[in-house]
Amino acid sequence: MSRFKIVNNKKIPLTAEENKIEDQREATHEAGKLDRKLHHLRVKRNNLLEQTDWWGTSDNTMTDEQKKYRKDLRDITNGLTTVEEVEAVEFPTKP
Amino acid sequence: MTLVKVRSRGINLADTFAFSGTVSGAGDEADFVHIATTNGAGASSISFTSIGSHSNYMMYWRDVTTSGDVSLYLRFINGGTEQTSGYRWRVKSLKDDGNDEGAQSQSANEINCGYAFDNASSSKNQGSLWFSQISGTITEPSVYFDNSGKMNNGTFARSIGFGTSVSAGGVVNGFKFLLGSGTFTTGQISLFGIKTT
Repeated sequence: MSRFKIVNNKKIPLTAEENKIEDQREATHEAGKLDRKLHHLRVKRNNLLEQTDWWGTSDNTMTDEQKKYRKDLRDITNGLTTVEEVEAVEFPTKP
Repeated sequence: MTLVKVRSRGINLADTFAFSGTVSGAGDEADFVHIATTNGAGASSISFTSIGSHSNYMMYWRDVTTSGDVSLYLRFINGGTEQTSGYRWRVKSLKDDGNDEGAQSQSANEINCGYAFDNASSSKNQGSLWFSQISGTITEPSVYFDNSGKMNNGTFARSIGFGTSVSAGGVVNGFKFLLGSGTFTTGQISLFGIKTT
């Protein structure tokens, strides 16, 4: 498929140099897919951890289930090396 | 002359008038001018380089879908040259599941003005972006923007943020919208010029 750009409402085919730049952008974007998926996962994980930070206050003793829940959240990215693995992650159930 | 030729703040000198003589003067900057609307379907980028001379510009995009899970980016055009470096920006997405987030990397090559679009055909994005150069020449042009739509992790989100070019100088005389990768599947972008007072 030949690429084109639109400048002032006119379709203009990309030059060879512009096509090369587009190829590089697409390669860079594809290479960063796993990092972007992991970023989304970490944001959600960090949010869930924050919601249970109060469990660790000095006037509260965490149950073993609570400790396991937080550890499972902290470890949730361990061993993830592919996009498919990240997409298959299931978050632990909050006790 | 017919009343339609008279604007609220002046007269359209490009019109034909039913009297003889010379009409002169540069006229007044119109309050609100629709400069162009572009249908970007299939395009790698959408540029506006004939933007006239206005104190403020507003860009509005709608029904934007993309061929990949990508962000929408903006570059300034200064003196006819596309600026490809020296950008600083920040974008934050407010997500319906409460897990708000910002872009994890900060590219200096362009401004992220619409974060992490979903690539489903039903996930249409809309947003607006504002730019001012009231003094005509500015050293660090900046924009602020707002986008709403579906993110590529399945949540609905509103992205807000700002961007600045620390390397561009002079008058901004064009804007270029592009994606992190791929092409616009659908979408229109409109450009308006707006007078300050």
